[in-house]
Amino acid sequence: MKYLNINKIICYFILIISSIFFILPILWMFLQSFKNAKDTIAIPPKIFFSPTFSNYLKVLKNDYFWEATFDSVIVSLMSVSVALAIGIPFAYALARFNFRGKNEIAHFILSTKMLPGIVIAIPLVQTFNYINLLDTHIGVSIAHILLMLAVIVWVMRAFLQNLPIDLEEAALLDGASRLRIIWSVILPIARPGIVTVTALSFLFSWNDLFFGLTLGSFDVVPLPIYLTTEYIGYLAVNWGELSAAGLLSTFPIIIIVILLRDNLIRGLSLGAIKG
Amino acid sequence: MKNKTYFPIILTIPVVIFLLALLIYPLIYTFTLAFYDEASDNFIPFSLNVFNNLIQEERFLKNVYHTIFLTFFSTSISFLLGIILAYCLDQIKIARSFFLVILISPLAIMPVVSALTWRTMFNPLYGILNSILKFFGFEGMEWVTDTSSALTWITVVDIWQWTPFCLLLIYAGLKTIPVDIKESASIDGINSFKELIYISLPILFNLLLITLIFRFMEAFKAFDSIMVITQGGPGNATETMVIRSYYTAFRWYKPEITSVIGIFILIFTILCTRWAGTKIGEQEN
Repeated sequence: MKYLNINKIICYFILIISSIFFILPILWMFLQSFKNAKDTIAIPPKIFFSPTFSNYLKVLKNDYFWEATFDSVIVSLMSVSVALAIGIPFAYALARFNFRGKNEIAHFILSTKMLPGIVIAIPLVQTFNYINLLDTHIGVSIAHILLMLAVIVWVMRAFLQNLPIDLEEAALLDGASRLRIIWSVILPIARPGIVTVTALSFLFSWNDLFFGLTLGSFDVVPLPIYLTTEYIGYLAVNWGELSAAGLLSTFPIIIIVILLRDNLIRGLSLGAIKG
Repeated sequence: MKNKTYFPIILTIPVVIFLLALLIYPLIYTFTLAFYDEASDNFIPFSLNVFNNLIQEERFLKNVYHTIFLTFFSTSISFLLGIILAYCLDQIKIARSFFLVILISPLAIMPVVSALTWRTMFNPLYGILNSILKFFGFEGMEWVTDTSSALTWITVVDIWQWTPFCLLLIYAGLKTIPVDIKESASIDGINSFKELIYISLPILFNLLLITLIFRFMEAFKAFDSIMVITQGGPGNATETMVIRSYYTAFRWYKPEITSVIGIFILIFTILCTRWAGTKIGEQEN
């Protein structure tokens, strides 16, 4: 019993130390977002100051911030839904059928996740320019699909493998078509897995800087690009507003995590146990 | 369900068409740029000049070294830290969700914004980190403005950014281990740490492997944080292969060098994913 207590004390100690490490930059951002312009660049940095909401108000009143948010939402929704639509059927085929070349395709998809965007950026810009997709929502969304396809395919594959096959066989005997089986049998029971990959994919698209930067310019300015171009000048950074905008832009993620919390943990763990 | 049918092909076609349409031209383009040479005497106009020049360059070797350093330390430390923190979270009862929220909060912040925040914190003159050090009576440090320590601190930022990802996946995995396994272990007098090492982690082998692979991939192609914090500097102390290829493409307009680096990365990528994919495949059967 004595061992147990020491063990717990060590655990708490480790957790507290690492919490400080992980929260420090966010705490600092939080403080910066309530400072006026003079306090943000004070030497030495101020921990005590008179807080102001002006940064948040300025950001919220800025039309461009809302346009960037709109762009980000459109791009994320389009890319996530298309990626799910082409990724889940393939994951299902991987999990349930044996056919030639399936592992090769699966490995290739995994390697797209690792491929840095820079390698394909230049030719992609040329191609998109040629077919008029440069600086459109569709263009950026197509590139974002690359970021999430590997996670969708591999996590959903592991997930679908864990589902019992009996239900599908019963439905097949009852004369349901295979597409119908996917739609009315597989998708409902695989919901936790789908929720998990959807949330992760959304995160990848929402946070992406590189493709937004190279494939969008005037008409499409997703949030990460907006934040880096609007508040960071050549000589100075508008710290207060940048921090406020940065914190505000995490709201959709927080909302998604809160809404999907139960499904999320279940999805992660179910998919995970078999790998 | 193993009977012969064209159905799996139908399910596969969309994803294959998408990948081919998106990647075939970039790949051909990359290879042409890297190896095509009009002046070559070969039957097929092709030469290895760019390639040979690059691998003899000291700077490129440094780029490779930086990439390996960052990838290795960032991946291993954040992975181990993820396991340790997940274990600690699993052990405690009070304030568990409070700690969980704090520990995974870096995931919610856009990498660009958090990298910028780190940059100000690192600033030797007005950064908060030096103020804290001075408050406790230590000397201020140079952090990322010193050639010898810059890469280390970039690695620390990368660890900060991605440990939550490892923690989240591993913690979710630990939650799935049936309670009776833990109970029977504790009745047998095995302490919880040994139980983690000898029972829980082996059960979660596949999850750990997938976490490790995705983590490894993110470290390998780290871009945002390096670009924002040091732009590859000071000198080129933090210039990884990805950063280098960005510069050759968009600043010095030498896309052929980018292509060769790209092919390096591509070959490496395919080797790693083949290994990882086969490993996971073995576990499934």
